[in-house]
Amino acid sequence: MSQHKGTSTFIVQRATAVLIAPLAIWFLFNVVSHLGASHSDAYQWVANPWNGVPLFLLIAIGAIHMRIGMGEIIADYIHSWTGTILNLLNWLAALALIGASGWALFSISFAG
Amino acid sequence: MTNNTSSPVDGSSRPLSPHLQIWRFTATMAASITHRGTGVVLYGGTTLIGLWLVALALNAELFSAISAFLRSPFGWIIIAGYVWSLSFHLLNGLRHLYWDSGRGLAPKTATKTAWAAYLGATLISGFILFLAGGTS
Repeated sequence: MSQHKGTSTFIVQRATAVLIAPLAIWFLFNVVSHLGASHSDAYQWVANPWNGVPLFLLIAIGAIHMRIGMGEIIADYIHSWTGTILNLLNWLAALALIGASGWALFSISFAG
Repeated sequence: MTNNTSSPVDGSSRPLSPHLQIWRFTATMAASITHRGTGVVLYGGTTLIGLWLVALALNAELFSAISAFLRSPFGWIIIAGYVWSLSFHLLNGLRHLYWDSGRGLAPKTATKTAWAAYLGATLISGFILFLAGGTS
Protein backbone atom coordinates (compact mmCIF):
# COMPACT_ATOMS: atom_id res chain seq x y z
CA MET A 1 0.00 0.00 0.00
CA SER A 2 1.10 3.51 -0.60
CA GLN A 3 2.77 5.29 2.27
CA HIS A 4 0.80 7.76 4.43
CA LYS A 5 -2.54 6.35 3.27
CA GLY A 6 -2.89 3.55 5.81
CA THR A 7 -5.83 5.01 7.74
CA SER A 8 -7.96 5.95 4.74
CA THR A 9 -7.30 2.56 3.13
CA PHE A 10 -8.25 0.84 6.41
CA ILE A 11 -11.52 2.81 6.59
CA VAL A 12 -12.42 2.24 2.90
CA GLN A 13 -11.83 -1.52 3.31
CA ARG A 14 -14.22 -1.63 6.32
CA ALA A 15 -16.82 0.66 4.70
CA THR A 16 -16.89 -1.42 1.50
CA ALA A 17 -17.09 -4.61 3.62
CA VAL A 18 -20.22 -3.28 5.38
CA LEU A 19 -21.80 -2.38 2.01
CA ILE A 20 -20.90 -5.72 0.43
CA ALA A 21 -22.25 -7.88 3.29
CA PRO A 22 -26.01 -7.44 2.55
CA LEU A 23 -25.36 -7.50 -1.22
CA ALA A 24 -23.43 -10.77 -0.80
CA ILE A 25 -26.35 -12.35 1.09
CA TRP A 26 -28.71 -11.14 -1.68
CA PHE A 27 -26.28 -12.56 -4.29
CA LEU A 28 -26.21 -15.98 -2.61
CA PHE A 29 -30.01 -16.25 -2.44
CA ASN A 30 -30.98 -14.58 -5.74
CA VAL A 31 -28.12 -14.72 -8.23
CA VAL A 32 -26.45 -18.13 -7.79
CA SER A 33 -29.59 -19.88 -9.06
CA HIS A 34 -29.41 -17.76 -12.27
CA LEU A 35 -25.89 -18.87 -13.19
CA GLY A 36 -26.52 -21.29 -16.03
CA ALA A 37 -29.85 -19.67 -17.02
CA SER A 38 -30.88 -19.24 -20.65
CA HIS A 39 -29.99 -15.97 -22.42
CA SER A 40 -33.58 -14.63 -22.50
CA ASP A 41 -34.23 -15.48 -18.83
CA ALA A 42 -30.95 -13.94 -17.64
CA TYR A 43 -31.44 -10.88 -19.89
CA GLN A 44 -34.92 -10.17 -18.55
CA TRP A 45 -33.73 -10.72 -15.01
CA VAL A 46 -30.79 -8.26 -15.29
CA ALA A 47 -32.95 -5.72 -17.21
CA ASN A 48 -35.12 -5.39 -14.09
CA PRO A 49 -33.41 -2.54 -12.15
CA TRP A 50 -34.15 -4.24 -8.81
CA ASN A 51 -31.81 -7.04 -9.96
CA GLY A 52 -29.36 -5.28 -12.31
CA VAL A 53 -28.50 -2.34 -10.02
CA PRO A 54 -27.66 -4.44 -6.92
CA LEU A 55 -25.63 -6.83 -9.10
CA PHE A 56 -23.63 -3.88 -10.51
CA LEU A 57 -23.18 -2.37 -7.01
CA LEU A 58 -21.89 -5.72 -5.69
CA ILE A 59 -19.36 -5.98 -8.55
CA ALA A 60 -18.29 -2.30 -8.36
CA ILE A 61 -17.98 -2.03 -4.56
CA GLY A 62 -16.45 -5.51 -4.59
CA ALA A 63 -13.85 -4.28 -7.10
CA ILE A 64 -12.76 -1.50 -4.70
CA HIS A 65 -12.57 -4.01 -1.82
CA MET A 66 -10.69 -6.52 -4.00
CA ARG A 67 -8.15 -3.94 -5.12
CA ILE A 68 -7.26 -3.07 -1.53
CA GLY A 69 -7.08 -6.74 -0.46
CA MET A 70 -4.88 -7.72 -3.40
CA GLY A 71 -2.77 -4.59 -2.74
CA GLU A 72 -2.11 -5.89 0.80
CA ILE A 73 -1.08 -9.28 -0.56
CA ILE A 74 1.28 -7.63 -3.07
CA ALA A 75 2.78 -5.44 -0.31
CA ASP A 76 3.28 -8.53 1.90
CA TYR A 77 4.98 -10.81 -0.59
CA ILE A 78 6.50 -8.76 -3.41
CA HIS A 79 9.32 -6.49 -2.29
CA SER A 80 10.85 -5.66 -5.66
CA TRP A 81 9.93 -3.40 -8.58
CA THR A 82 7.55 -6.13 -9.83
CA GLY A 83 5.25 -4.99 -7.01
CA THR A 84 4.78 -1.62 -8.72
CA ILE A 85 3.75 -3.33 -11.96
CA LEU A 86 1.41 -5.70 -10.10
CA ASN A 87 -0.17 -2.74 -8.27
CA LEU A 88 -0.74 -1.03 -11.63
CA LEU A 89 -2.32 -4.20 -13.07
CA ASN A 90 -4.40 -4.53 -9.90
CA TRP A 91 -5.76 -0.99 -10.36
CA LEU A 92 -6.42 -1.61 -14.07
CA ALA A 93 -8.25 -4.89 -13.32
CA ALA A 94 -10.51 -3.16 -10.78
CA LEU A 95 -11.26 -0.22 -13.11
CA ALA A 96 -11.85 -2.56 -16.08
CA LEU A 97 -14.25 -4.66 -14.01
CA ILE A 98 -16.25 -1.58 -12.92
CA GLY A 99 -16.25 -0.08 -16.43
CA ALA A 100 -17.14 -3.30 -18.25
CA SER A 101 -19.94 -4.34 -15.90
CA GLY A 102 -21.31 -0.76 -15.84
CA TRP A 103 -21.38 -0.74 -19.64
CA ALA A 104 -23.03 -4.19 -19.70
CA LEU A 105 -25.74 -3.13 -17.25
CA PHE A 106 -26.36 0.11 -19.21
CA SER A 107 -26.51 -1.80 -22.48
CA ILE A 108 -28.95 -4.41 -21.14
CA SER A 109 -31.14 -1.88 -19.30
CA PHE A 110 -31.58 0.50 -22.24
CA ALA A 111 -31.45 -1.94 -25.15
CA GLY A 112 -33.87 -0.84 -27.85
CA MET B 1 16.33 -10.63 -5.05
CA THR B 2 14.69 -13.07 -2.67
CA ASN B 3 16.96 -12.63 0.33
CA ASN B 4 15.53 -11.90 3.77
CA THR B 5 16.23 -8.20 3.89
CA SER B 6 14.55 -6.61 0.88
CA SER B 7 15.31 -5.23 -2.51
CA PRO B 8 17.20 -1.94 -2.44
CA VAL B 9 15.02 -0.61 -5.26
CA ASP B 10 12.03 0.46 -3.18
CA GLY B 11 14.29 2.02 -0.54
CA SER B 12 12.72 0.12 2.38
CA SER B 13 14.48 -2.49 4.47
CA ARG B 14 11.56 -4.09 6.25
CA PRO B 15 12.25 -7.64 7.48
CA LEU B 16 10.23 -10.59 6.21
CA SER B 17 8.10 -12.73 8.53
CA PRO B 18 9.88 -15.45 10.55
CA HIS B 19 9.98 -18.89 9.01
CA LEU B 20 6.55 -20.45 8.57
CA GLN B 21 7.59 -23.79 10.13
CA ILE B 22 8.05 -22.40 13.64
CA TRP B 23 4.31 -21.71 14.04
CA ARG B 24 2.02 -24.19 15.79
CA PHE B 25 -1.13 -24.87 13.77
CA THR B 26 -4.25 -23.22 15.25
CA ALA B 27 -7.82 -22.67 14.03
CA THR B 28 -7.38 -18.89 14.16
CA MET B 29 -4.28 -19.14 11.97
CA ALA B 30 -6.12 -21.40 9.52
CA ALA B 31 -9.03 -18.94 9.36
CA SER B 32 -6.63 -16.07 8.67
CA ILE B 33 -4.97 -17.98 5.82
CA THR B 34 -8.38 -19.10 4.49
CA HIS B 35 -9.62 -15.48 4.60
CA ARG B 36 -6.77 -14.45 2.32
CA GLY B 37 -7.17 -17.51 0.11
CA THR B 38 -10.93 -17.03 -0.31
CA GLY B 39 -10.24 -13.33 -1.01
CA VAL B 40 -8.08 -14.36 -3.97
CA VAL B 41 -10.76 -16.85 -5.14
CA LEU B 42 -13.37 -14.06 -4.97
CA TYR B 43 -11.07 -11.73 -6.94
CA GLY B 44 -11.06 -14.25 -9.79
CA GLY B 45 -14.68 -15.30 -9.33
CA THR B 46 -16.06 -11.76 -9.29
CA THR B 47 -14.11 -11.03 -12.48
CA LEU B 48 -15.89 -14.07 -13.99
CA ILE B 49 -19.27 -12.71 -12.79
CA GLY B 50 -18.37 -9.45 -14.59
CA LEU B 51 -17.53 -11.43 -17.75
CA TRP B 52 -20.86 -13.29 -17.40
CA LEU B 53 -22.62 -9.89 -17.40
CA VAL B 54 -20.58 -8.58 -20.35
CA ALA B 55 -21.30 -11.76 -22.35
CA LEU B 56 -25.01 -11.35 -21.57
CA ALA B 57 -24.92 -7.83 -23.05
CA LEU B 58 -22.68 -8.69 -26.01
CA ASN B 59 -23.70 -11.92 -27.63
CA ALA B 60 -26.44 -14.52 -27.09
CA GLU B 61 -24.38 -17.40 -28.52
CA LEU B 62 -21.38 -16.66 -26.33
CA PHE B 63 -23.67 -16.40 -23.29
CA SER B 64 -25.37 -19.72 -24.12
CA ALA B 65 -21.96 -21.41 -24.34
CA ILE B 66 -21.00 -19.99 -20.91
CA SER B 67 -24.34 -21.11 -19.45
CA ALA B 68 -23.88 -24.62 -20.83
CA PHE B 69 -20.41 -24.72 -19.21
CA LEU B 70 -21.84 -23.50 -15.88
CA ARG B 71 -24.40 -26.34 -15.95
CA SER B 72 -21.62 -28.94 -16.49
CA PRO B 73 -20.04 -30.73 -13.49
CA PHE B 74 -16.85 -28.64 -13.86
CA GLY B 75 -18.94 -25.45 -13.93
CA TRP B 76 -20.73 -26.60 -10.79
CA ILE B 77 -17.37 -27.05 -9.02
CA ILE B 78 -16.42 -23.45 -9.90
CA ILE B 79 -19.80 -22.12 -8.67
CA ALA B 80 -19.56 -24.24 -5.49
CA GLY B 81 -16.02 -22.96 -4.82
CA TYR B 82 -17.16 -19.37 -5.31
CA VAL B 83 -20.22 -19.83 -3.08
CA TRP B 84 -18.23 -21.45 -0.26
CA SER B 85 -15.52 -18.77 -0.56
CA LEU B 86 -18.09 -15.95 -0.47
CA SER B 87 -19.84 -17.54 2.55
CA PHE B 88 -16.58 -17.97 4.44
CA HIS B 89 -15.19 -14.53 3.56
CA LEU B 90 -18.53 -12.98 4.61
CA LEU B 91 -18.65 -14.75 7.99
CA ASN B 92 -14.95 -14.25 8.71
CA GLY B 93 -15.31 -10.62 7.59
CA LEU B 94 -17.98 -10.18 10.27
CA ARG B 95 -15.41 -11.59 12.73
CA HIS B 96 -12.97 -8.91 11.58
CA LEU B 97 -15.57 -6.14 11.99
CA TYR B 98 -16.38 -7.47 15.49
CA TRP B 99 -12.67 -7.40 16.37
CA ASP B 100 -12.49 -3.80 15.10
CA SER B 101 -14.97 -2.90 17.86
CA GLY B 102 -12.37 -4.20 20.33
CA ARG B 103 -14.32 -7.33 21.27
CA GLY B 104 -13.95 -11.07 20.63
CA LEU B 105 -10.16 -11.00 20.72
CA ALA B 106 -9.60 -13.44 23.63
CA PRO B 107 -7.89 -16.60 22.29
CA LYS B 108 -10.72 -18.92 23.39
CA THR B 109 -13.41 -16.71 21.80
CA ALA B 110 -11.39 -16.20 18.62
CA THR B 111 -10.85 -19.98 18.31
CA LYS B 112 -14.58 -20.66 18.73
CA THR B 113 -15.57 -18.03 16.14
CA ALA B 114 -12.92 -19.39 13.73
CA TRP B 115 -14.54 -22.84 13.88
CA ALA B 116 -17.98 -21.18 13.60
CA ALA B 117 -16.87 -19.45 10.37
CA TYR B 118 -15.88 -22.82 8.82
CA LEU B 119 -19.03 -24.59 10.02
CA GLY B 120 -21.32 -21.68 9.08
CA ALA B 121 -19.78 -21.29 5.61
CA THR B 122 -20.22 -25.01 4.92
CA LEU B 123 -23.85 -25.00 6.10
CA ILE B 124 -24.77 -21.79 4.22
CA SER B 125 -23.07 -22.80 0.96
CA GLY B 126 -24.57 -26.30 1.17
CA PHE B 127 -28.03 -24.74 1.58
CA ILE B 128 -27.51 -22.24 -1.28
CA LEU B 129 -26.21 -24.91 -3.67
CA PHE B 130 -29.11 -27.18 -2.71
CA LEU B 131 -31.56 -24.35 -3.50
CA ALA B 132 -29.81 -23.47 -6.79
CA GLY B 133 -29.70 -27.13 -7.83
CA GLY B 134 -33.42 -27.44 -7.21
CA THR B 135 -34.41 -24.63 -9.57
CA SER B 136 -32.27 -25.24 -12.66
